[in-house]
Amino acid sequence: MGTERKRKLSLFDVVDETSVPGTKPKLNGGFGGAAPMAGNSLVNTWTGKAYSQRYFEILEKRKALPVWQQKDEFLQVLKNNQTLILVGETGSGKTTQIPQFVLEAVDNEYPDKRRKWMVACTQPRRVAAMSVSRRVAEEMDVAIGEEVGYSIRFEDCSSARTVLKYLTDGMLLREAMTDPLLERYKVIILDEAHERTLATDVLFGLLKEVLKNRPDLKLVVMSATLEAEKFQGYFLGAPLMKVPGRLHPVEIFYTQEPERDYLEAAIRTVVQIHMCEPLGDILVFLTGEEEIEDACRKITKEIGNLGDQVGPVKAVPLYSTLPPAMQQKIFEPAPPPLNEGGPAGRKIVVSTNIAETSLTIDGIVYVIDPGFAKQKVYNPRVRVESLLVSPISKASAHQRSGRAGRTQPGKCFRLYTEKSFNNDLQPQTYPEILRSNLANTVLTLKKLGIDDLVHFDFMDPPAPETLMRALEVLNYLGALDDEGNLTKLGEIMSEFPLDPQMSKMLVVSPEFNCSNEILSISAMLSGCFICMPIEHVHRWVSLHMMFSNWSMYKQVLVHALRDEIVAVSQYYLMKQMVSSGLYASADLPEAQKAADEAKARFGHIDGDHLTLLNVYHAYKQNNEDPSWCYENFINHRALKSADNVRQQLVRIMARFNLKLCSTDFNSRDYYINIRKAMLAGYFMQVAHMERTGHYLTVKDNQVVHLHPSNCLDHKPEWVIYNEYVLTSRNFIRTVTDIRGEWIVDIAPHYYDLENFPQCEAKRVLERLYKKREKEREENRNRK
Amino acid sequence: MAEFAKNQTTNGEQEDEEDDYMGDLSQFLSPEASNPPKPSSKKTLSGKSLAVQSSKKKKAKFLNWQEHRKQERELKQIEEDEQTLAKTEAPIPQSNIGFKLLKRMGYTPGSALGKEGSGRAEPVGLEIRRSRAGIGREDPRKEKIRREEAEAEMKRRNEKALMEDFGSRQKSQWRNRRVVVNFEKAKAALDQLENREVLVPKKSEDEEEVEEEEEEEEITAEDLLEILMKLRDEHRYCLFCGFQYESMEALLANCPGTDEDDH
Repeated sequence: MGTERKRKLSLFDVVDETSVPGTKPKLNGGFGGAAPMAGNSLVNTWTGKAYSQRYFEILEKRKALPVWQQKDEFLQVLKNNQTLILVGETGSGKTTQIPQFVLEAVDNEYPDKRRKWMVACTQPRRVAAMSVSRRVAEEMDVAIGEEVGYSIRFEDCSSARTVLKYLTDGMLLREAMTDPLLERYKVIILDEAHERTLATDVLFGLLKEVLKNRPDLKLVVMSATLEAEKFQGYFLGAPLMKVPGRLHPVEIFYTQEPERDYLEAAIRTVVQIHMCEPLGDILVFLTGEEEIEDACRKITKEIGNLGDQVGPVKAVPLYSTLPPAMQQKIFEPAPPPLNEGGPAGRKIVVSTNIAETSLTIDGIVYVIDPGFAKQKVYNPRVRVESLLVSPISKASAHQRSGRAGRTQPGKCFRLYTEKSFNNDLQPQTYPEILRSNLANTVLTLKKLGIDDLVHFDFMDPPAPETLMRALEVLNYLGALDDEGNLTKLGEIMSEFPLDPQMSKMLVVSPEFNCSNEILSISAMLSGCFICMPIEHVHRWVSLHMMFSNWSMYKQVLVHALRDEIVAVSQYYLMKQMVSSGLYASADLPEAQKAADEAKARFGHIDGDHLTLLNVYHAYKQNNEDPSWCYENFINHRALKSADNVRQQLVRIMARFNLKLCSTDFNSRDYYINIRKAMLAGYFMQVAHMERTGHYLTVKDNQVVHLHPSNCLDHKPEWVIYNEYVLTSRNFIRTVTDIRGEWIVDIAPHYYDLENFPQCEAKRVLERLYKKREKEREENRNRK
Repeated sequence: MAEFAKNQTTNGEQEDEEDDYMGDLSQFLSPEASNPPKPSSKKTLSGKSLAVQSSKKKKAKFLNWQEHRKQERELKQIEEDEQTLAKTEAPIPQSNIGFKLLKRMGYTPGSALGKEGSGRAEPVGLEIRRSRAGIGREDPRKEKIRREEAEAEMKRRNEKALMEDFGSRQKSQWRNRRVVVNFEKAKAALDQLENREVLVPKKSEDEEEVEEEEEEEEITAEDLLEILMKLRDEHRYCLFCGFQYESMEALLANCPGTDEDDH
């Protein structure tokens, strides 16, 4: 022990010599004061190197976090229990600190460094996994990807040295597929458990089983809100630890009467607060980009109308699809008074519910809560995913009001009556598992060997019909046989981190001699950035129409698209911009020309999938050149990531000896084969155009509309679609033209007319089947 | 099926509109040119109103036209939403392969999933809000429909009550009149039986009627009964039999009752 200590001291001296002399006393003092605490040695136990000065600086800040007050208590509870639940409000430091405490505890318990073990900490969001792991690597004074790493879909930033891994909950689930008992981990931390993502919920059930079989594994469930009792009940009385957040009291106000228009009411409240309440920033919760941009403009205008009797305001929008540079604006300070001694300025952040949990803005004293948020709900009966405005839950309302008390006592204005709060709001938001399509989840569970889905220990079991739909899809795709057992095909499909339809399309693509192309299309579709709704970009651009010429427009557009590639939609976008008169007329010809060019270059009249393929090919042909991307409105980063996804998929294909092949580009069958291969995966997502000119989904006969971002130059009789969403209308998005003849050839088992509702599509199919029968007979006769 | 066909046409129309919207400089052309005439009566109306526009007012009229289109689109969306909601009412049939597969896993139809079967029996429903009405306040459109329905119901009920009221009032009026008539008759019979002179000259009939009306409130069923009983008791006479009996016994044996209804 003595020699050890000495060695550390000498190392400290080395550091000291290289550092600036002036900092020496300060460093010395800081160190001396904290000396008795664990984790204050001079050598980093993970790297064997001396700690940097920055390490100690951060350490001081870390120790001020509320969670450090309970470090010993936490370690004690962890030691004595297999499962524990930790509840702490945002700002307690649990996400960054608890995994490090755990690491310390495990390190003490298993001092043998040759034995490989890891600690996992899950995050619901990719961005959080990346950013938190970076922060923790910095706090631990190690390089990211070494001792501390992260793993998200299509991106693994960890190594053999990694001991602490932040990963998305979905990734941990995928790891369980190859390592069913998760033997590489000693402790698993499920963070943000209150968000109840689909993957977290599945992990709950799974880990409960794993814990029974692995007494040495420990589980820490971290949550922010009131559902702790529910967790405790589910995890059979695991001890509950509470870490206080830094919350000040928040006074809550309700309206006397229900509001006629919540947007108007919100703006009115902002103005009232600005006129009557003492200093402090305002946070307004609204539902979507359009509404938020609208509100920002109205607020600025209304307060502008009040003259210089009141202070200036800065209304800042915040929503997830806003470019990151714009998002940074929420952290800017409130504007200064117009003139010296005048009334002070105020910052007003108008946000979707991303400011509810995932993003913290300091300085907010007033919260305005109209009580609504956009919610995604999948309905298995009509197989639609809706993204509509709905009332929030009591838990959400509570979370929102808490945002007012981060820096000082605050006020929350709920734009509904207290009676409504008690009677009209449900206690909790439905967890994702009750609102999602479970086809992929069921395939994963099957692969994990869970055959009894009916009695699986879900915290909130999904509706039977949601599972029925999932089983139906998997059966028709051939991933499950009629007994419900996983087939060989299903095994392979489960290895792709994609929707089953897409995995199926990939697996069968060699049979259609076009696996290279299908790989590219899948990669392009898998980045969520590609499917982003064009309405948003259009709106964003139209709202920032202060510029008057083409080149300025282009700059803004590229800025707007920084994180999203919308090459597919640019043709539509430009056309619409021209026709809606947002352009100065002088720019018309140039814009029109550019639009036509873009269409000529990438647009494929037979479908959006093929357009995506064209964009990818063009990108590769231009040697992935960033300036080429800029010229063509294509987001370089997005395409680079699609290319990365493609490489990962190629690796999976290789593992199962799936041939990589292409039809000759000059062959007439080049695109036909691709379209046929897509149909082999997406035959359940087909819409038929009726004589009246509108589309009905097959079997469900839902009226749907082609999403305006499509690239088609005609209205095909049959289309396959990537998704069917209910937003402002019933839309099918990312569509491609297919032929009825292919349907009867490729998917007769689904298009079994005995089980088909009466409709126009059925009569067409009947004719096609008869035609096929006749052809076959003719062939037989000829022989 | 008929309902479906109707929707199809309306949607087809909308699709066309959307193409216009996306497509071109239709705004700068006259709307009739870009919008071929459609069977809908609303369309022809808008066409007419646009046809009369002068070039000066073009801009204002154009806005109207856009507004009109927006409204129409909203209406169609409501129709579509209703259709979607109606479809979400129908559960997945037992013949579905997914249903069979879940049953094979041990699912009992009608029950819920989970270790203790504590899950939801039904999927989370869709709620389509297309307005900015606050919490605790219904969608103004739905509210309007509901209000109209309630009003119609109220009106219907009122009318029914009114009819019933009217019927019963008529009936009681008739009854009252009968009472008066019978009273008069009974009075005349009594006078005759008591050998008084009949003082009812034909001439004064009108007068009498007026009197009757005035008296109507005074002459009640009790008065009638009183006089009838007097006739019966004192003169063994029944007004409704129109007969003076020999004896009280004969009266009781032959007359069906004191009331007119008994006869």
